[in-house]
Amino acid sequence: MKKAITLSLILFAILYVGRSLVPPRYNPAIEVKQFAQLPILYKGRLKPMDTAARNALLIIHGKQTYKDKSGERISAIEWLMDLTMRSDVSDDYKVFYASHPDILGLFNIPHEKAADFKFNFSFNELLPHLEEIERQAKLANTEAQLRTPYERSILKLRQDLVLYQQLAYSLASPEYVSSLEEEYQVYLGLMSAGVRAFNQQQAGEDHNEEALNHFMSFAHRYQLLSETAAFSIIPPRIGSLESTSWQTAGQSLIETIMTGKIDEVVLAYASVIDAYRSENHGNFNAALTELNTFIEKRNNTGWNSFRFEYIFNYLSPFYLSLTIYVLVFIIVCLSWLVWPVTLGRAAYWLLILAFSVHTLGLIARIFIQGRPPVTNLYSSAVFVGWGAVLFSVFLERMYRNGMGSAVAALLGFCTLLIAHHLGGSGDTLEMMQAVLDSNFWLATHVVTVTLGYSATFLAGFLGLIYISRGFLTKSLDKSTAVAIYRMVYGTVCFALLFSFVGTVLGGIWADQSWGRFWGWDPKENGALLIVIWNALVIHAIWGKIVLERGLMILAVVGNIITSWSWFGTNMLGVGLHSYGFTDSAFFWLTLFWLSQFIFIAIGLLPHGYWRSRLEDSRQ
Amino acid sequence: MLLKIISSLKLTVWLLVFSLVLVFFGTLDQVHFGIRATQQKYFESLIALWQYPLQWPLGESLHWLHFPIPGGYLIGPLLVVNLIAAHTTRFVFKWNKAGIFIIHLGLILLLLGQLSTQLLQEENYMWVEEGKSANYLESHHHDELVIKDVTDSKVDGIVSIPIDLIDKKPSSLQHPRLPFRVETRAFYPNAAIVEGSRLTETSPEMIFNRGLGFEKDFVVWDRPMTYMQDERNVTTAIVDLVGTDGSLGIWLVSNVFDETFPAQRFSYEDRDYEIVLRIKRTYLPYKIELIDFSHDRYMGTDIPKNFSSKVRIINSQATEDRQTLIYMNNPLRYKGRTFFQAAFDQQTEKSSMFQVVNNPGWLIPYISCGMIALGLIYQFGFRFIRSSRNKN
Amino acid sequence: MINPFKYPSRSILSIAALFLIGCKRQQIVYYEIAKEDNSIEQLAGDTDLNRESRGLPPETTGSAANPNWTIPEGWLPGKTSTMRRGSFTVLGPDNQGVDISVTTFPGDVGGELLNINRWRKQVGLSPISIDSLDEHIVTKTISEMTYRIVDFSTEQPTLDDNYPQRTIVATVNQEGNSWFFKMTGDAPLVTIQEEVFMGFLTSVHF
Repeated sequence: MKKAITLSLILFAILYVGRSLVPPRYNPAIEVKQFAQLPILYKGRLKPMDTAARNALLIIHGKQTYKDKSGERISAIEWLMDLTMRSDVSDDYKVFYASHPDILGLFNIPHEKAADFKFNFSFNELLPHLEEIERQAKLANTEAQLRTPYERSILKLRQDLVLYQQLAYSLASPEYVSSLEEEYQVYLGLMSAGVRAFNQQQAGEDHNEEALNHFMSFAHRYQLLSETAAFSIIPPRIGSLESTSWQTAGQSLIETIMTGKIDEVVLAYASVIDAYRSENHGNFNAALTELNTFIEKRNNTGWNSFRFEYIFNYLSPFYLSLTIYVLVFIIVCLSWLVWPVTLGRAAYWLLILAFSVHTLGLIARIFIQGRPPVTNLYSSAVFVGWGAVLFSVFLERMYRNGMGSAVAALLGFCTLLIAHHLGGSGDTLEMMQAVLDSNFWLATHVVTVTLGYSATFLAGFLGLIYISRGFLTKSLDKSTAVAIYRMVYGTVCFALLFSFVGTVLGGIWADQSWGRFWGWDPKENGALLIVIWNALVIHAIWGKIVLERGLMILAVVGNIITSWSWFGTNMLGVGLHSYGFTDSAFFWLTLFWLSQFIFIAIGLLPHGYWRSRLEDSRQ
Repeated sequence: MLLKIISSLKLTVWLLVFSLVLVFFGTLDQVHFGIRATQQKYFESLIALWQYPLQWPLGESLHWLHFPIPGGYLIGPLLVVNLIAAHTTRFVFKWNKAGIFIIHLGLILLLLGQLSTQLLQEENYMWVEEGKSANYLESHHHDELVIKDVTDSKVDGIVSIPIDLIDKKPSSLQHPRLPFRVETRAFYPNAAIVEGSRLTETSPEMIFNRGLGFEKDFVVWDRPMTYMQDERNVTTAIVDLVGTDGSLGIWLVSNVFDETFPAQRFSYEDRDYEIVLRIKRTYLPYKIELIDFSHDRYMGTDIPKNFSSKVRIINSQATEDRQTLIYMNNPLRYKGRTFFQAAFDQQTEKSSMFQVVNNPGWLIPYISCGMIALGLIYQFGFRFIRSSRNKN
Repeated sequence: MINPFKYPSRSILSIAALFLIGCKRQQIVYYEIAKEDNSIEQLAGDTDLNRESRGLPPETTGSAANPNWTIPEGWLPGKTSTMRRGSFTVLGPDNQGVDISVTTFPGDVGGELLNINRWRKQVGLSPISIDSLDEHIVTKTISEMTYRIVDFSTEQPTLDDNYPQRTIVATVNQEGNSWFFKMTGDAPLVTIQEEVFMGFLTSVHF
């Protein structure tokens, strides 16, 4: 019976993971999947169209899907297809978000009416107000930290509108023509006469005015296209896909003036666009296949990393593991009340499953980006969680009392949730600044420091669970308490080792790059605080200044110090590590600190107030 | 009794707590005072006085709140003393505690090494334009008042007066090479200098009677110092040169008068001089020429991918003339100085800036941290193996 | 081994001594260098003197909005660069080319003389002195704005080009920002395009 429960829980989880391996369902008539895997160059990185679509919709709309008027969910790539090829349709999609009352007042829209649509607006609804939005955005304070919430909202709205427009111009001019292919052929046909007239005009000779004007109108159109496009779609003809000269559609068309031929990829895209606009599904799929063969011809690598990234996108491994971690935590908590062995084992194996998915996701990121796992704030969150879960798995194997699984699940869930929120600002696989562009140091210093964070948080969360269990339940008996004490002690030792080594590696990196080992930079100081704190805890234990409960409280303080080092220092805007200030991050950080202070306060309460019976246990 | 306290673990813990507080509040202050000023106030001092910032909530009413924190120069030495005392009195060497000995020894070395770096290290920068060369370094933070003897056709004689000597009170300085005294009538750590003719409001009285200030009718206003990282204070002074017969004249000097301004020259007793207040220079016995600067960006973006400078070292004394490439994470180490690729002129992309560091104690952190890491691994590895054996 | 703590007063004194020796004392120094002559004898540019230091160059190109303009016929899109608000190119017979750029910076970027000498240097011409500055600048009012225009050319073809090079730069101040409209390239083509350039300036409205 008990075995059956364990097995069925695990099976259920495996099925849940397996379900996500199924690709998303799109409009069945057209090959959306193939379109989603088309390679583009966007923000300095080669990626599939799908990633750009997801990131853009996430930035503008806050989600990776859009619910249209009939309540149907439209995927990001389908939204992008409409935006780039049938902007008249997408201009009615309510994807823009504006809830600040002053903005609504600017548009003369009553609050209740906007609330009906959850403060979402379509491009067409915003169109009459574009000039005003632009004007308001210009008036905003140039220093980011001094802006009011209104200024921030209006600037975000403007940014979203600019992004929207740029995307609309990325494949072709959004003005509707019945046949783009025909337009390009006309352009080609006019070219020789037009260029001749142009040269004649330059030399001051007589020329055919009409031919010249006609030609120049095309040239201006494509010039606008090349200036406004968000991403490049034409791979370089010479060299591999990775080489530097991708072009936007407009740039390629302008280049045609000199080459006399239109790039075949441009023409292939034109067929695709025409087919989409005329809703001719057969033609669309055929044109898409042809486009792919042209692009493939220019791909020397033999490996389609775009398909890989496309799959990675819809698998969302971190979201998967996040949900499983929640399940693990619930089961572990249950295991402390009833059926400890069975549920404990079930929780452990579910944890392994979640951890595997988490790990695979991390490996996939490394593969796609070609870099060690931690390159920005988002990936640091994912890795802190991963490191903490890894350590906890070892703890669980050693102590087998559910504590390891519990704290693993808790930390895994929290860090992935943080990561999820950090991912809302754009491409999480973004390119790195020149200063940080060193795989060796990224793999050593950054990874070690992040593992130091993981270990310190692990000790801290063990402390939190100790205090919760002791205060709220009767389940903290002597053997459990001693076990937790040992776990925390061991973890703090590891934390000291990793944080110290990581900080020193950072110093060496700085010495190699700028000639100074230690510069009292806020981020460096933050790391130093963690090292000092862990050393302090060790010395406090050895000096018998704290005993069991005292250690737990100190460990919880470690949470505060580590979160300061990780996020707080970024908000200061000083020194070499500054990334900028975000209001909501400060709010959540403060909330977190408050929660930790509450736990510390509970920890300090005399024994009588705790539900579990405890005496001071001496080693 | 005192010995017992000095060598106690409790003292260690207290010192660690104080260092935590120091680093935390020092970091907070960096927002308003910049990294360098905070470094001096907190980490290079005996006591630091923290004040509730005006910019914080309730700043107006809580601004009076001060509290003192032991500074770096108090905590550091105390930690070293505490460590040495603990080891000489309480510790007994045992092989299973060898790790701790190594860790502490490494720590002492690290602290002493950092102290020596703070006292001995020189950090300067050097700008070179493509096709040109430079033979001096400039200081990030210090200025100098320089009186040049330019009489000779081949050689300039430089008398360099560190700004710290003229900044506190009206001062009077002398040097055997100068036939006059240098008296500072006024000093402004940061100033705004404007042409008097442009002004409509009344302006303070200016007493200089020679040179640029006088000819251009400049007016000087005192300004609060800036601590922003990429701004430099306009260090300004009004200097009176007094010879045996009285004053030669009063000049306005400022570090904002760079080489696009006419030199302030004068003659005295058959010798020609030039007076200038400028960023402190360190002349090198060799030249660095920038042959080419290149800068790549990630395609389609503005994010810098790498930047590199091809330079030529011309050392006439050592008859050296060679080319080399300086780029991120690949500095040039030459004659005791290390040249790092630091920045470049973003407008023209034809000038490169090198961070030039001279740090004799650079090896110490490597050695000491290596020792500490080894000690940690030894100590904790030991404990880990022992405890997992206990579990089974 | 002598226990330092047996003689506390002596230990404290020696530590204090170490400290004093360690602290550097500021001194006036004298040294000699090979003769330098790196100042121009005359003043350059405007003298509102709160300039950024040479420690770190200013990073922004200003956040002022682009003016409106009409792109003349025959002007194609030119090199893209983060500095350029507008960039055009004109192609002529015999591979001639002309580059037109619109850039803006807060303030006056060091003053007129410095700017002119920088542009001159870009085509390999020697700098001019403050005395001749006024001779080189022509002030024109175009579309109710005052432009200061410089115009210079090399006598001979330069190393990289088959033709002599000519540069025309029109500068106007707008709300504390300087806007530079610069046309540079092969002299014969510049001559042909001069009128078009002026026409372009006429169309510029802030």
